[in-house]
Formats: sequence, structure tokens, C-alpha cells
Amino acid sequence: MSIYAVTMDRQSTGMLSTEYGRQLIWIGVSLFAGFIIFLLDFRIFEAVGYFAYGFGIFLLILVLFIGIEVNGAKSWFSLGFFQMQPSEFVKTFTILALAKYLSSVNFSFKNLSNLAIAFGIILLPVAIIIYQNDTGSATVFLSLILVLYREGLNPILLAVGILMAAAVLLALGLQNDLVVVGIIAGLTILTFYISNLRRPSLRTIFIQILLSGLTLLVFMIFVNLLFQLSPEIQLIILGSLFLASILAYILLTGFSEPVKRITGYLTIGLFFVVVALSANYVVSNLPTHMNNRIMVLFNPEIDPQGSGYNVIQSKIAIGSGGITGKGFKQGNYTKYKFVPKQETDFIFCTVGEEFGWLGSSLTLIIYFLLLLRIRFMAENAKTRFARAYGYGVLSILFFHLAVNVGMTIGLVPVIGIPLPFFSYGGSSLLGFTVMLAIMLNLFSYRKTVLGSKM
Amino acid sequence: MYDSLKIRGGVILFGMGLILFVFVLRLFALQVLSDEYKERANRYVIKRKIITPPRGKVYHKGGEVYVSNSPMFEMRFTPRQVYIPPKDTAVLVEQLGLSAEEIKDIISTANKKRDWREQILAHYIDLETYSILQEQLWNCEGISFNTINKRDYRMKTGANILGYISEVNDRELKRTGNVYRPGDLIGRAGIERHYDSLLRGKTGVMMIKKDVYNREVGSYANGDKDSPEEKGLDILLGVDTKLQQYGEELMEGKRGSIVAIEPHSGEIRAFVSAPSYDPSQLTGAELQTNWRVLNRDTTLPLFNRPLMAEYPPGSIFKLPMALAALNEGIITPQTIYSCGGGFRRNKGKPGCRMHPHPLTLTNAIKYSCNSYFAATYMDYLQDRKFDGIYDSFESWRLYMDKMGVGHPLGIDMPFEQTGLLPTTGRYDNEKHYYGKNRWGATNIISNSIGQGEILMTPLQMANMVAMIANRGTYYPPHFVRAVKNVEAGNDGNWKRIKYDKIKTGIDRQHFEVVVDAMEKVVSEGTARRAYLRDLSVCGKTGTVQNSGPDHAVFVGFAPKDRPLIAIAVIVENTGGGGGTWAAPVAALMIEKYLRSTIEEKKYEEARIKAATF
Repeated sequence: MSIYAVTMDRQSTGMLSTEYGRQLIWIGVSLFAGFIIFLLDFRIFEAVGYFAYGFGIFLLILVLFIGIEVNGAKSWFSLGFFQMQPSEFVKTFTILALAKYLSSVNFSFKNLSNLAIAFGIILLPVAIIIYQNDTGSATVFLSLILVLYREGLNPILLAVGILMAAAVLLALGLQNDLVVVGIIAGLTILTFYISNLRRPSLRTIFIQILLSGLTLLVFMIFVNLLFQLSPEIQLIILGSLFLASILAYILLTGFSEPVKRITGYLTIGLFFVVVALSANYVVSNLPTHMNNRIMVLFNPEIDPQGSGYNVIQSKIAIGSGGITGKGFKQGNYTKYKFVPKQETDFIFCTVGEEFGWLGSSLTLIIYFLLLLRIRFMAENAKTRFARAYGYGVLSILFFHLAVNVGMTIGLVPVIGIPLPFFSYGGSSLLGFTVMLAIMLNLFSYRKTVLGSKM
Repeated sequence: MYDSLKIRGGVILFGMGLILFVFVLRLFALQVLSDEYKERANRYVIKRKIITPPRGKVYHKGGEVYVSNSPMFEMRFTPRQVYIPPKDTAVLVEQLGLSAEEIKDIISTANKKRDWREQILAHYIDLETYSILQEQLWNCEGISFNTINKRDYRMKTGANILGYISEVNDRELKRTGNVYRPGDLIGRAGIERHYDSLLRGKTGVMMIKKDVYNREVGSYANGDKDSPEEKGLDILLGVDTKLQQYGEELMEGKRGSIVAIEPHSGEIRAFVSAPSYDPSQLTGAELQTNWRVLNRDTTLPLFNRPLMAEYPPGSIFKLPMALAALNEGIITPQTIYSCGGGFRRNKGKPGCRMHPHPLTLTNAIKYSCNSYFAATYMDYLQDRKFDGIYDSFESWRLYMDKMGVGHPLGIDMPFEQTGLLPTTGRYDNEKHYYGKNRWGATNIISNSIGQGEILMTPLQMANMVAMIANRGTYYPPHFVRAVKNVEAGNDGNWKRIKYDKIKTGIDRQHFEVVVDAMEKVVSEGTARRAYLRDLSVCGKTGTVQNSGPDHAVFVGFAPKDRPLIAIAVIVENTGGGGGTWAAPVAALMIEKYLRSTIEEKKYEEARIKAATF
């Protein structure tokens, strides 16, 4: 229940800074829906998992035919007086289905076809939503890989995924933004740390961090130098280095552990440099509008008329907030509506401008407390279904939070997804409320499950 | 196993916390450490300002301005920002003639779309009203003014050539991507449409700084990020506006077309579509209302007849028939056929008028003998050197195709119709025609006199006679002679557009035979009303049967040996008489063009102007 209090508090803050009575109605609808869900028997959610998923996929396909287009994406149903975006609910349905599949008796991560189906459950809605031209909403589903990781997915797969993403960002933004490099460094070290964690002792952790950091540093310098050479020479150097490092890794079997490890890292690192380089080429060959959205991340000033406009305006709005902000409803920058989409995707600007660094940090901390609470509930769940569901909610919520806030402060490309419980928009609010209500329901029945010898 | 997995939950949360921590640091950097953003927000905000360049001007053959722009303004609003206090609404009501409800309506519908792009509140505001509004509306938010191009027509002639411009619609916006912005003008017909990409120029975007009271305080980044507007390019037409206007006067009260082409360049000198309208009717605020009226008019003033009306060519088709048969060796200038009031070899069909016979090709053209050409066509299609009717028909068809029949000529104007040149496939169609191997020369004999399945536009007729005037070659007919040279700036030289000569491959000597006969048609045959002293006009008349009263047709060129003008005239529903109604119109046009005054044909001028059909 405390979570509910927290979320309601957030909702009302978001509400007061915009002035839409419509949102009030949605809050009422959401509360009512949440209440109904609360009354249901907890076993229902596991039982309807696949059915809900199928229904969701059906809606996604249906919207392709009878949906209406908003901002270039054909992903909305128009029901006369209001509009609805099915992908908001499909998130919940997908988590239900995934959780149910992962908790089925015969499921094993070692079984390739099981693994393929688990990934399939995540990727099917992604494919359809990308086809709707709503890439932003589609990427959200990818965060569910964290659920798989928690339930036993080989960490190497996760590490490779994260590192590839990191390498791509590194390649595109190295010359421009040290903060990005910092994040990637942190992420990489973290990934190496978790991927080698079997019997963690302080010493091993320390050595891991040191080694991976060192390798990363070498690569950053290397990549930086490499980008100043011509493409042919880049390829020759890369190719020979790659071969050399593989050879070295095989030949060095007899040598001490740290030496071998460093060479191993070098090999992996080189692989990511290849990924980074190809990403650079791919992006420079993308259609201009896509290319812009990505490149603007690294330097919004290159295109202040077009793609960079949102980011510059949003940074100015947030930056003008100072430590304590201009005060509630005093933000002249947002008041004059200079930031596009400031009620929806760029709502965080209002927080930044009106409540300053303290206010926006506090907001992030409250979100983090919510995440902590969800994780606590998930870990204490007595069924695998409930736990997997909890982690699904955790991943989706966090992804929304990170991408949305990240883009307003220029750390993440502009992807149009809402800030949970903040942004204007009924579908999103209702979707997240239902998602959390199911979570609370599963949690409140924990004692009953214990009693019934499960 | 379970425990090691449990740690993963912690790892995930640790990662999330780390990222959020980075966010907090970033926010600290933005909000506390850096003064840059604070200053920028306090001093100014950046706004985009759209600058519409003047649309390219159109010049006529005389080198003078034909179409230019009169600057007007439109009022735009940004749905997200717009706020109009009641006092200012009153100003708008007074100045723009909109009612308060209308204004409220426009704004509230736009607001629902929650759009960031500017939309139009009012069009075509003149300079005076604009300055009043500028002065009084300083309380409004999210309002801007933009210059627009209202076309200024210096002459009331050639509406069908010029076409018109109007506001781009949603479908076009979507189709063209980023080329247009809502409220931009797009060419809808004629030259304006075909050359829209040259005429419209490039919309400029200026980044300006505004303070918190929405006042402009300067340009952003010293204007480095601005994309300057580019003026539309001027174009020079080959149209002789005096001739065009004279043609329109002659055709008043009638329906039909006049197309005059200069044969050695392919430039169109006159392109009359009757009835027509005043081009300035389709500009500015009255465009919509006037367009609706014109569109409902049963005489179809918006229908560009020279380009879009398709007629059976009638007797003028005997000219390409003769050329094809001569070149293929089916007939020689000495070949003689009999007539006797009809084509005997096909039960007297098609019929013919009484005239001396048997006769040679020259006389057959002079008297427009149907039997002669029916016989020629039959002999062509049944000639032994071909492998059956399919082969001979294809051979004949190829000649017609090369002479510009049955395909678009690629004129620089949208909506050109193709006309019709039948294929064997058409006759093979069992449902509407005969079926495979079930037709022969007699079935399609009417083609020989231009009455069968063949359809031609007035443009194709004029082009055909220009081709004859050139003795076997033609340039694609076109309006635009030159475009202002871009490199030299808009005050630079005219840059001529190159057009490639098209050859028909028909031997020059055959043209001399046909041209001699055409001269006789005018001097002593069916088109004596087109005769002009010392100008040796060559021509051919035609009468086109159709569901209503017959149309009168004349094609011709002059002078014979150094052709300066080729012309096609079609006057609808005269009840026949290419020589009576079409030939004198052509003669008047030729006299006007070559002598610039009408003396010899004064009597015809009065007679034609008085006639209505």
C-alpha cells in the first residue's frame, strides 16, 4: 500500500503543474481499475497469462488496420471521445506471459528452444510495434531481458548485449561528450564484474574492476586514434590485431591468470571496436532524420532548427532551474511553452525548472525507492511467477524512467516514451496503474500462498 | 543456485541506482555548476522564423513580365502557444471580417491536435491591415505573420497556360515530405504546377532570440544556423501574349481550341482554350468561391481543351495517311484511284462528295476525297510484302506513332492526354470489337479518313502539322524557353532549355508532294478562306463527326518554304465546315502573327467574332 501512496503523491504533483481536467478523469478511471484488480483472486493472473498476451497481440495487429495515426505512428485506437494506445497494456500482458512461461515446470535456460520461445514472447510485440512506426514504445520491451537475466540467463549474453550498445554509443559520441564515455565505462566495468561473479571475494572484485577499467582505458585511446585514420587502414589494423589477439589467447595458456585474462579482454574489446566502427558507418548511412536523432544526442547544437531543438530547449529549461528551482508554476520557460511536448515526453523539464536540482533529484530518489520496493516484493514472492512478474514491472518502469529523464538532460536519444505517473496521457497512466495493481495483488496474497502449501 | 541468482537481483538494482546517480550528477552539472543555461533562459529563448521567398516571375516572349507577385501577409498561430485576449479578438474581428466564433473555432480545433507546427489563422492580409494588426496585437502569444505570394497577372490572357496556385493540402504535405509547410502555396495547374519546384524557391528558416516577453532580441549564433531563403527562379515563356489574346477574342462565344507552334523550335506561341476565364479570378481570398463557380460552369472553362480534349481528327488525318503510304511505296504521286461518290470496293463506304475523278494524290488532298484514302489504306493493309493484316497494321501504326499520334508529346504542362491510336489488341477484343483473326481492312477502313477509333488532341494536331512544315522532324512542343541562370544570381542571364529534335524517318521528297497539295487546298481547294497574299499558306480542312453537330477543323502552316508558324484550329459544334469556320480563324492568327495587324482578313474577322455556336 505504501507504494500506492507514493505513486499517488507523484501523480498529484504532475497534475498540478499541468492543468488538464481530462487527466483527473483518467486518474479516477485508473484508481477504479486498480481497485477492481485488487479484488480479484491472485491465481487469475497466472491463469490468464497467455490469453491476455494473445489478446494484446490481436489488439496490436488490429490497430494496424483500424487505428489512427498520431505523430507518424499508427498505434492508437480512437474510441470517439478518447484515444487509447494498446501497446501500453501489452506491456503488462507480455510480462504476465513471460512470467508464466518462465515459471512453467519444464522450463530450463539450458534448453535452446525454451530460450528461443522466451525471447520470442518479448520480440513478437516489438516487431509489430516497430511496424506501427512507434520504435520508442518497442524498445521498452527489450528491457525485459533483465527478467531473463534474473531468472538464470547466461550473463555473457546480457554482457554482450549491453557492451554492444555501449560500444555503439562510444563510437558515435567519443569526440564530443565525456559524460557518455563515463557512463559506458561504468556499465562495462559493472558487466565484467557481474559476468565473472561466482564466489565473490573483495579481492577478486577489486582485481576485476581494475583489469576491466585498464582494458577500457587502452581501448578508448586506441579507438580515438583509430577514428582519425582512413577506413582502409582501420580495417587492416583491426583485422590483424583481432587475429593476433586470438592467437595470443590460445598460445598463452601456460601463462599466469591475469596475463591470460587481459588478452581475453583485449579480444573481446576488439570485437566491440569492430561493432563500434560498423555502427559508425551504419549511422552515417542512415536516412537523414534517423541519423539526426542519434547524432544530436552528442551535440544538439549541430541542428538547432530540427532534431536538436527539443534537446536544447529542454536543457535550457532544466538548466535554468538552479538548485532550488523557480518555484511552483513560476517557470517562465515552460510557462511560455518553449519546450515542445512538455506535457508528455518532456514533462521532466517542468520539474527541473520549477523545483531545481533538489526537486529533480528528490523525484529520482522517490522513483528509486519505488524500484527498491518492487524488488523487495519480488524477491520475497513465494512463486516464481510472482517474482518474474515483479522483475518485469521493475525493468519496464526503470526503462521508461531512464530513457525519459535521460533524453531531457541530453544523455539518451530522443525516444518518445512517457514518464510513468507523470506524463499527460490516459493510456499510459492506466497501463502503469494496472501493472502495479497486479503486482500489489500478487504480493498481498503471499501469506495465503504460504498457507496453502505451495 | 538459487542464492547466486538472488544476487543478480541486487546487481540489477545496483546498475539502476548507478544510472540514476549519473543522472543526478548530470542534473547537478546542468543546474548548479553551469551558468550557461541559466543565462540563456533568462536572456532569451530561441524561436524559428519562417521566411517565404517571392515566387519566380513569369515573362512572355516579348521579354516583359507576364506574372509577378503582390506581397500580402498571412497570420499564423502555433496551436501550443496561442493565446488571444478578448480585446485583441475584437481587433481581429474588426480587421479581418471573421466572427469571434470563427476565430475561437479555428483555434480550439487546432488546440485539440496539440500541435507544435504553425497553422493559418487568416490569409491574404494586405499591407495596411497588416501594419494595423502588428501595432495592436502585441498582447497575443503564439501569433506570427508571414509574407505570402499572391499572383499578380499583368494580362487577362492565357489562364489555361498559367494555371493557378493555392494552399497545399494535407495529402500533398504527406506525399512530398518536408518540401512544403502547412500554408505554403503549390502550383495546381498549368505552368505553375509543372514548374512548381523552380518557381517556389526555398523557404528560409531564421533562428531568432526572443526574450521572455516574446520580443525579438537578435539572431541566434550570429545567424550561422540559419538557412537563408532562396528566391524562386524566373521563367521565360515562348508564348506571344498578343497572339494569345487575339485568339481568345476570336474564340469568344465558341467552344474549341487554337494551338500555334513555331515549327523550328517547338515553342508554343498560342494555346487558346475557349471558353476561358480571367486568371486573377483564381488568386487571393476569392480563389475558393470563384473556383467553385468555374468548376460548376457547364461550358467547362477549367477544362484545358488543347491539351485534354480528344477528337477524331477527321480529314486532316489524310495528310499522315498520304505520307505513310508514299514512304512505304504503296502509292506514288502518280497513283490514280477512282471515286464516284463513295468507296466502291467496300459497298460505297465511306461515302464521298462529288468532284472530278479518277484523281491523283494532289487532287485527292485538294478535294479531300474519302475514296482515294480508303483505297490507299486498303492497299496498304493488304500489300503482299506484309505477312498478313497484323504485320501491315503494325507497320502503319508505327508510322503514325512516329508522327506523334496516340502518345503524349511530353509538353511541359500537367494532365496531357494521350489521344488514341488503336492497336491490333483492341480489334482482337471479342466483347467490344471483332476477335482474333476476325477482322480485316474493310472493318477498320474509317481510320483512313480519321473517323475510326483514332483520337487526337488539338496539341497533337498542331504538332503533326508542325512536323509536316519541318518536312519530317519536330521538337517536343513546349511553353518555357528559358530559366534565369542560377549561378549568375537571379539577375543573371536566361539559360535556354534544350529540347531534342525528333525524326520521323520519312523521306523529305514525300513531304514536298503533300505540302504542294496543301498549298493547293488553300489556293483553290476547301480552305480558300485561309488564303493570304504572298504568304503561301498551306493547310488542310476537316469536319469531325461526333454525337452532336460536327466540329470544324483546320491545320496549316505558313509560309510554305520557310515556315514560321504551324497552327491547328478546332471549333466545336459548328455543324461542319472546316473551311468556313476553322480556316479563317487560322488565317487571322497567321496574319496577326506575321503582319501584326489585320488588313487582308478584316471581313473574316468581323464574321468570326460575330459567330457563336
